[in-house]
Parts: sequence; C-alpha cells; structure tokens
Amino acid sequence: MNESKISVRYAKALFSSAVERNLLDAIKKDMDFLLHLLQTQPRLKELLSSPVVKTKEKGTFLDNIFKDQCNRLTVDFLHLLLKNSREVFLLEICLNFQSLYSKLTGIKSAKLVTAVELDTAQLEQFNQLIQSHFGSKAEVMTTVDESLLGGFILKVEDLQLDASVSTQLKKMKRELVSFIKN
Amino acid sequence: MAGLKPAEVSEILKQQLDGFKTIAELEEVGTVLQVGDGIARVYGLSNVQSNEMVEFDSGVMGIVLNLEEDNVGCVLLGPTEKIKEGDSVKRSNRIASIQVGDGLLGRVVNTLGEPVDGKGPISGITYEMPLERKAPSVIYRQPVSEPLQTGIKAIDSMIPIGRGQRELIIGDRQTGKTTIAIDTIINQKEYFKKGEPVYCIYVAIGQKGSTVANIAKTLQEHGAMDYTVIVMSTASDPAALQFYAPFAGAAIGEFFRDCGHAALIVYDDLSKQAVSYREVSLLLRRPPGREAYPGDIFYLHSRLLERSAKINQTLAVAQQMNDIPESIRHLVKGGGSLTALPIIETQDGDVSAYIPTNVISITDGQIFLESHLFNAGIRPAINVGISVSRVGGNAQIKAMKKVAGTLKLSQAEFRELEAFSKFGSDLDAATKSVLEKGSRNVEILKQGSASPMSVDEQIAILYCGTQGLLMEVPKERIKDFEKEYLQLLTSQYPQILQQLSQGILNDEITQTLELAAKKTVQNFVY
Repeated sequence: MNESKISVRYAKALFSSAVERNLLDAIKKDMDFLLHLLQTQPRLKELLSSPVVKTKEKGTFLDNIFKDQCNRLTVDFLHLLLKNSREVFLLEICLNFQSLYSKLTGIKSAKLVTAVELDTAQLEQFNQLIQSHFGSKAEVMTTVDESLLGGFILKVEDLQLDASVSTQLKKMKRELVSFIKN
Repeated sequence: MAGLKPAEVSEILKQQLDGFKTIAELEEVGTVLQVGDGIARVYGLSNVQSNEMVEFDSGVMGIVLNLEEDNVGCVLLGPTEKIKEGDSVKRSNRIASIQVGDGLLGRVVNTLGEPVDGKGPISGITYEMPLERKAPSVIYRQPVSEPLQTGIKAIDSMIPIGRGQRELIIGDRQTGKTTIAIDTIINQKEYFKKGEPVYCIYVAIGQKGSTVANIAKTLQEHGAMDYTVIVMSTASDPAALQFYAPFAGAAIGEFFRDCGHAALIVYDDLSKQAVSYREVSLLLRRPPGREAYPGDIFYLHSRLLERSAKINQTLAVAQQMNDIPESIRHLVKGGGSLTALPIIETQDGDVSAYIPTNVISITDGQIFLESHLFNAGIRPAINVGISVSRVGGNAQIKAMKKVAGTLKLSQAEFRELEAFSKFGSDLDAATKSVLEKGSRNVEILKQGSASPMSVDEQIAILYCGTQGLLMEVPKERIKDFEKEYLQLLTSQYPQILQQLSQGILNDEITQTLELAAKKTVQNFVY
C-alpha cells in the first residue's frame, strides 16, 4: 500500500479544519512544537510507534504532555490518530502540514545554522537575503552549531545554501584524496 | 603513485588547491525519514527525477526509485549503517551512470565502474554512459547477418549465434552454463589477433568472489583478458548494486557497440538479478505478483536485453540513433553490434517457472543444458531437441550451413530411436545405421572446456560425421581420429581449411576432405 497518501490526507484534514475554525496560526505553532519534539526526542517517536504500549496508555501520555500546552484541536487530532492507529505517521503529518501552510501563506520555513550566535542586524541581513533569493518571506529558525567552524547553512524548504567552513574543508579533503587515489 | 617524491606531492596538492572552488552553491536537499535494509525514505527533494543519483551526508550514494506523494524512496549503493534518520540528502542532478572507456579492457570493475582488481585507476579517456538507456529503435537496427563464433561445435553447427542476437543459456546448477560463456569469450581471441576484436563483457551477479577470481584467472591464462571487461557484484554487495550490475555491463557494451565495434556480453546470471530486484521492490513496498516478483520484472529483463542490437551500417543513420549520450556523440559509427548471452539457472530442470519463461520469451533462442547429459559425459551437455536459435541461421557461414544443415534433425531422430532401442534388441539395418551414425556424431560434438575450435576445423570434422565416413571407427576412438584427421589437414591441406573458413565448399574440397578422412580411418580399423 502507498503509505505516503495517509499522512498527506491527515495533514489536509487538520489543515482545513484549522482554517475553518480560524486557528491556523495556533495549530501551526503546535505542529512546529510537535515536529521539534519528534526530531529531538527519539524516545517519543519510539513510544508512538511501539506496538507494546497500549493505545489507551499512549492517549493518557499525550494528554499529560499536550493538554495544557496545545490547542484543543491539536489534542483531538492526536486522539483521532490514536483511534485510527495512525500515530506512526505523526512526523510526516507535521511536515505535510508545514508545506500546506507555506503554500497558503507564502511564508516559507527556513532553518539557519551558524557557528556563532547572530545579532539582530545580522538576522535582518539574512531575512533580506532570503527575500531576494527566494522571492518570499520566511520564518527563520536559528540554531548554533560550533562544528561548522565558520560560515552558515541556510535551508529554505528544499533548497540549501551551504557556506560553512566545515563543508568546504570536507569538499577539499575529498577532492585531494580522490586526486591522490588517481 | 609509487615513484612520486614528497615535494612533487605538495606541488600537485597546491595546484589542486588553487583550482578549488570556494563559492557555495544552492543545492536541493531532503531529509532522511527512515532508513534500513538498503532503502531510505527521504522527505523533500521535490524536484528529483526517477533514477537520479543522490548523495547522503556520509558520502554514500543512492538511486531514486520511488517518487511518492510526500517522499521519495532510494536504494543505497553503500553501507546502510552510515546513514541516520534526519541526515540531509543532496540531489546530484545526474542520472545513474558510469565512466566507460577503452581503459576498462582487462579490468575487473564493480557496478559503479570502480576498479576492484587492485591495479590502480582506469587509464585513458572515459565517457559517461547512463545505466538506463532506451534501446535503439527499429530504423537504426539491421537484421543479424554476421556469425558470432563460439568455438563450440555443438553450438556453431546446430544453434548458431549471430552478432546482435540474444541467446539464452539455461540449465540447472552444475551443467556448464558459465563454461559455455567463458569458452565463447576465449574463442574471440582469434578476432582480437586479426584486429577485428569482439570486445567481451562478463557480468557476474551475486556470485562468490572466489568464483569470479577463478574466471578472471582462466581468462587471463588464455590471453582473453586483453579484450574483456569483468563487471562484478558479489553476493555480499547491496541488492541495488547486484540488480544494477547488468545495466552497468550493458552501458559498457553500448560504448563499444556505438563506436562501431562488435561486443559480446554475458549476464551470469539473471535469475539472481531478479531475486535482488525482488528484494529491493518488496522493501520499497511495491506490490508483489507471481512468486513475489514485482509486476515490472518482465520489463526489467526485456529493456535490458533489448539493448543488444546490430546497428545499421550506414554512418549517417547510425549517427542519428536515439538517446546517444552526449559524451560519445562524436565517436558514433555504424555497423557495431552487442550480442547478449544471458544465463538463467533453473531448479530441477523446471523451465516453466516465472523467470525462465519470461527470459525465454524475450530472447532469440535458448541453449538448454541438462544435468543427466552432463553426468553421462556428454559435455557441453546441450539438449539439442529443445535448444533453438531463432535468427542465427541467417548468420551461419555457407559451408557450415551446407555441412551441418541436417545435423540437428538427424540428432533429434537419433535421440528418439536411442530411447526406443533400449526396449528391444532386434533392430533393422536402417535403424542400426541411424544409431551408429548418431552416436558417432555425439562423440564428435563432445568438447572439453576452454578448448574452442576454429570454424574451418569444425566444418571439416562435422563433414565426416554427417557423411557417415566414420562408421568403421570405434566410438571410443573418435576423439583420437579427430585429432589425427585435423593434424593431417593442417599439415597437408592448409589451403582447404583456408577456403572453408571463407565459407567455400565445392566438390574439390569435399573430395579432399573425404580423401583425408579415408586415409586417417585406416589407422583406426582393426
């Protein structure tokens, strides 16, 4: 069976009911939060996909975390997923929701990784860079990763601009090694 | 690199650094959602093409096979362990392809065209050839007209193969399938020496490394590696590398074919390739069909074998051929050919299984090998009755056609009578003579491995068999007769053999052959 259809459909359903109830921004925030959790906490994903944990237990667990933090619609949606045993697809659903959101609003989600903390002026420069390069606004999520050594990696949806020192060093190494091998 | 001084190394490194680009480029990327069993599902990469190469963070390459609604499925061409969930994946904007050139000759390479024989990098100019390429369409082809001599008497006489043909070699394990293919490669040495080489490609799919090493050694010993490329993917390689190996071989073959040369490719064997394709397909969650093979397993084999062809002689036509890779456009010449010898292994002689029937229907004939013949000492163990060559007859040289024209039928008749004669002892004279002649022909058609015979000698000895000149020679001494007879011909009548190899067979020649046979027979009559 083609499983990729499942997540697309659930994301669409959530998206349209969010639009109907005028909760789009709130749900978007929830989805970003969920995505962040899923990507940073592998145990959460493990729990959701585990067949050993009973659906009821998963339900109470999700209630405990999200009931106070998230919108009512999000919590209901999570319960719907549990009821239909589709909780495994949560990550894909979040991703699809994001892409639906950016399609509707024209605001793309961008990720910026830098070696050092940026000040507001620099961030503004990046925003301008995105505006001029990608022709649309973007919501920039910044992270600091010292292993880059210098420079930055800017990722706007499917496109990536890798201007980090570590990548250049890696490239250089590969080219020299392949040359010596030949 | 052995003779390089440290100072030179630094100089070269400096040159490399000077040419190094520091400008960051915009790349299309995706994120790994799931990875395992040689498969990765990637989110993003929304513009990626089917069959495109992608690169993972760790440098492992993958090929995109599934384009789904919100993700793409890739097969990995390297170790799965190096890839983690959340890794980024880059598009390469390159359809899966390998670097091909004359430098590949004599080498053992893997599916990606990288040498694995420890003899250093591939030398000379190489050209990029795509793994998947459309076969030449009808107008750029020509009917099969030239013979591809295998050097095996039973094949060249009864199941002749033409250049550009696809002839299946099918049989159980341990029946000599690979031997036939290897002997055919060895026999092409004669053409290599003459300066009209038939370049050979041997593709080993899912075999033991030691088996491939043995084959390489055999070819080396017989001086056949000079015009041969071995493409290998051993049983321990990822499934993707195994099922792409024949495509890599075909890409190499197409390079020679499109440059106007004759080429021969052996796929050993396609049943293993089908199994690895099934593995990948099931992991990619494509729906299984008969014997759990995916629906496009027929297409997998047909599009591969369709790439064997005889290309039109006319240069202007050949140059307009469809889907010529840009890299070799300036080298294209007409008249080239790619002959394929796919191999299929059957289980207990069952040719009606899924993959065997598929490949039988795709190819232009099959050579059927049987284990009971093999065990009875008839080697090559070809079952003449059900082996056919649908187009090769047009390619046989005239002299061979004249001499061996009736051989196949008479041998089939002999097999029938032989089975029948086991019931009774009283046989009439006519039956007896058919049996006597047939059993002598069987002896003539026996041939050791790695001992191919030139076509003129084949015609000379087959003439004796079909004309019944050997009735007085005891069966067990036919081999000795053959040796002496051919020695006599080469020493005393070299011009006869010369004419035979040109396809000439007139009364004068037949008289000489009969004379020589009679002379030799006398040494064997008690």
